[in-house]
Order: sequence, then C-alpha cells, then structure tokens
Amino acid sequence: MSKHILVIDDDPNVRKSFSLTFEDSAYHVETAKSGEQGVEKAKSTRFDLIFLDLKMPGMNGVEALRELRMMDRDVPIYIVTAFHKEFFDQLQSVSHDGIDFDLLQKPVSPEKLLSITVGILEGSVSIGGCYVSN
Amino acid sequence: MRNLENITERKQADNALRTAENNFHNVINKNADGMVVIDTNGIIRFTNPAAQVLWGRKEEELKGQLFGFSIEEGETIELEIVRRSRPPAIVEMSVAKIEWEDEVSHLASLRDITERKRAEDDLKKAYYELEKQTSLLAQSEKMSAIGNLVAGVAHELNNPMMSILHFINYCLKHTIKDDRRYTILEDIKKETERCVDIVQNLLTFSHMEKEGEEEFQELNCGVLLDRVLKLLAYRIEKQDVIVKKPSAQEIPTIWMKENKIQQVFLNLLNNALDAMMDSEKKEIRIEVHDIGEFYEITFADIGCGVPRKEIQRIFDPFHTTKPVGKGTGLGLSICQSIVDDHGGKLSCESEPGKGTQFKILMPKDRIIQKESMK
Amino acid sequence: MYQIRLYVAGQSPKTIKTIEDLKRLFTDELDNLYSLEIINVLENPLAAKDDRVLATPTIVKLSPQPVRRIVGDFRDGDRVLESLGMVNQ
Repeated sequence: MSKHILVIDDDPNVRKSFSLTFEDSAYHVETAKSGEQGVEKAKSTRFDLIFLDLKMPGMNGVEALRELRMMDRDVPIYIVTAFHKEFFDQLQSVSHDGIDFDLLQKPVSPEKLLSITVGILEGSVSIGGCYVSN
Repeated sequence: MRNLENITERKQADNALRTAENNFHNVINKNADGMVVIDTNGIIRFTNPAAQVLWGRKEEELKGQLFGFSIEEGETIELEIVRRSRPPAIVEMSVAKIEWEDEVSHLASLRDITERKRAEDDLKKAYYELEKQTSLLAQSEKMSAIGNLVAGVAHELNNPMMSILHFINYCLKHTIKDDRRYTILEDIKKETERCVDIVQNLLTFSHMEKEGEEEFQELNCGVLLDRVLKLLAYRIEKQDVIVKKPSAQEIPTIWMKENKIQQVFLNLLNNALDAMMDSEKKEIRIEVHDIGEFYEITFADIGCGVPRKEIQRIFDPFHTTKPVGKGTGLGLSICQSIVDDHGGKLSCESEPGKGTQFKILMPKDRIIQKESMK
Repeated sequence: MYQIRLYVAGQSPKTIKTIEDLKRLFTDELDNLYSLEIINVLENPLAAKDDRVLATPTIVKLSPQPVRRIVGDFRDGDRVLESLGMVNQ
C-alpha cells in the first residue's frame, strides 16, 4: 500500500512540481489549490504527509494548519516556505499554542525533496549539505 | 567785592570742570567694553577697568606694554587675547584715531564676544550633526525601502525557480543521455541552481537595515565573513580576485550586532574590490591578530590606495571620491560609528599605488565594550 | 567529543518529546561525551541557512569529522545513531 502525500499550494506550477517529482516514486501525491480544498480532501482521505504552503489567498497556511491539526494530531505537516523571519512571526504564535508542525525550505530541489520525504516517511535519512539546490 | 566774585566764579568753574571730569571718568570706568589708548609706537598708554579684566591684568602691568595687535582704523576685527589661568577671550575690536596728551594716538574699543562665539560654534556643530543624522536617516530609510523591495522580489522568485528546477529534473529523467538536448537541460538546471543561490544571498542581506535595535550576541566572525564573500562571489570571480582569509580556528567569536558587523565587512570588501578595478593583479588579504584585550581584523587590498591628503577625511561623512551618483560617502562613516558602538576602533593605512589596509579593533571582552560605551 | 546540533521548528509538545528522546539516546550511547545545541529555526532562520538546513527536524553532527546531516523521522534510535556514524562506541 503506497503512502499518500497531500500538497496544498495555490501556485499550479508548484503543485505540478511535486506531482512530477514524485511521479516515479513509491508515493501517491494528491494536490489541493487552496486551504479550503486541502482541508476537504483531508476529511475524506487519510494522508501520511502533508506539504502546506504558507501564503495563500482565502484560508492561508496558518489557518489551514489549525484545521488540519484538529482533524489529525499525528500526521506530519510540513510548512513549505522561505526561511525568513517575517514569515515565521505568524508561525511562532501557532507553535506557542502547542500545535505541531515542521518546516521545509522553499525553494527545494527535486533531489532534496525526495530524500527528505523518504526520511520523513521511512525513518531518518542522511542528506548532503551543499547549497540549497544541490 | 570784585575779588570775592572772581573767587566764586573760579570755584564754580573748578567745580564744573571737576564734575565734567568725574562724569567722563565714570563713563570710561564703567564702560562694559574695554578701552585702550595706543600711541603711534604701539605702546599702551591707558586702559579702562573693562580692558584690564579682558587681559586679567592690573593697570600698571598693562601701561607701557606693547599692544601687540595690528591697528586698522575704521575696521572691526576679531582677535584672541591669551590670558593666565583662563581660556583666551575672543574680542571684537574697533579702532578710532584720537588725540591723547596732544599726540596722535588710537583708541581701541574691545568687545568681549567669547560667549557669543562659543554659542555660534555650538550652533554650527549642532547644525552639522543634524545634517549628518538627517542624511544617515534618509540613507537608512532608502536602504530599508530597497531592502523590502529586494525581499519582496526575492520571495516572488521562489515559486517559479522551484518549478523550473523540478520541471527540468523531470525532463532530464525522461531524456536519453545521447540526446543532444540532455546536456543543455543539465545546463539549464545548473543555471537555475545558480539563480536560487543568488536569491538566497539577496535575502540574507535584505534584512540588514531592519528597524528597531539589534541586540548584541556572541557570534563567530567566520560565519559573517563567509556570507559576505558569498554575496560578493560573482564580483570576485568575474574580476579574478584572490581572497586570502584566515583559517576557521583563527577567526574569533566576539560580542557583536550581527547585521551591523556584517555591514562593515561588506562595505570594506566592496571598497577593496572598487579600489582594484583597474589593477592588473587583484588580491584581498583578510587577517586576524590577537592583540591583548582586542582582536584586530584587517582587510588589505593591493589597489590604487588613498592619496595622503584624503586619508585624514576618509571617515568623514559625505566625503567621497566617487563620481556623482556612485557613492554617498556615508559608507565608511557609518562603519566607523558601528565599530565605535562596539567599543572598537576602525582605522585606515594606505600607500597610493600600492594598496590600502583597514584595521578593525574589536574588544574581546563584553565588559570592555560596555566601558568604552560610557 | 561529539558536537551535535538539532534544528527544530518551535516548541510544541511533540517537538519537546523528540528533543528529550534524542537527549536520552545520545546520553545512553555516548555518556557525557557530547554537546547538544538546540536551534529553533523559527527564532534563528539565518543559522539554519548557514548550516544548510532545509527541513526540520535535522540533526547535524559537526564533529568528529565527517560532518553528517540527517533529516526525517527520528523515532528509530538505532537508525539515527547509524546514520550519524555513532554505532559501536
């Protein structure tokens, strides 16, 4: 039984990126174009991993995170964002509320995305330390 | 009868004369301005009390002395009177020709303007300071606005760059190596990775001008240096500059405001690169020396150097040798303020035609920093 | 002497548990011959970028050489130690 990944991002090319990169992998990727749609999908399907964009119109990443956590306390949710103080301010308050999430730096290269995903779903993986895109 | 009348008349005349003398004496003695009579040989013949106060000397000490200042009739000039155990008096002098004891002499009127001068100087200093701060603020706001713009653009680029990376990767996965397009796809991948790097660097520096007070923390200079070198990597590579920097062990960890010191390193390295633009050989040497209670970090280049007459003013705000629009001249002035703020010292040595070396002295100890800031 | 850095996101109960579990794992395996530095990426994104950390949680073993960097699910202690090159101490 393959594991299920949900990608929530309002940018169609980012969604396509995830789909293409995971196409030949052991994982099944579903995408959602908004926070609302992502939450809907999570209601009907049990996901093993959720990638969540931060800046989205309508229900933004933080709101979606809260909704998703209310439904499932354990699923790993990775906020995909630039590592920049400005973006993190809103995440600080979510963390203070005890809500668990992790971070994945955007942009992430296809190679690193695959390695990290394997690490999350199968157990820790060693990862090289060159520049972001390597 | 006649004699009595004569005597009374004489007495009245005497009285009138004495009263007149008294009146004039009072006027001269109580005059707030100093009055000095100088004969044609430049010798002081008379001084009133106000003049004596100006020199801090008694009448007998001044009478018969050489006046010492050149006499210009009809001109008002400023001069400085040096005196014992008091700072010199700044005085405004007007000179008129008079007769003194039937000889042609000069009367110098001296007005003490020491206070006024000091007030003027203070005002000038305050105005200069205000001008400087206003410029720095405008510069800082401009940098902040640029910083925000750069950050905004950088973030916008993240999504498309990520997409390109993934799409290219997919194409590579589905293209056979023999296909002529394979290497081109690899090149696209490399160039895109380069873009990602550049944008990452931009973001690192876009919050250099953030508002609000930055805090002191213990940080390793090496990390800062590497970041700055990475940001300037394109320029360094393009211009074939050799950069020699100390090993990781030699680079100290010090108390600092991260963004500020980063700014200093960036500024000094940028200046070094500018200085070597027209040089045949280009080399930047960064060294760290342990000097008692300080670390000395030096940035040396083998560029055009700073002319001797410029070097005194190199840290002055607004001083720049760059053409209009190319530099505000605030960079080094800001750097010096930053280093001062850390309890350190920024200095410059240069030999025109040979090169320039900037030395940053940073205190090892936090306590020293706090002391220096008092 | 092992020098280890653990990068996490925030301080949720689950993250704290991960930290505690790892501390226990390292202590059991290395006694006190290690130093563990916890870095909250939310507070210090620049540190993450300097260390080339792309995701949380990430464990970076700085010394002894070679530098190792692992990412993902750390619940399997043996796997963590193996990936960091720390077995058979």
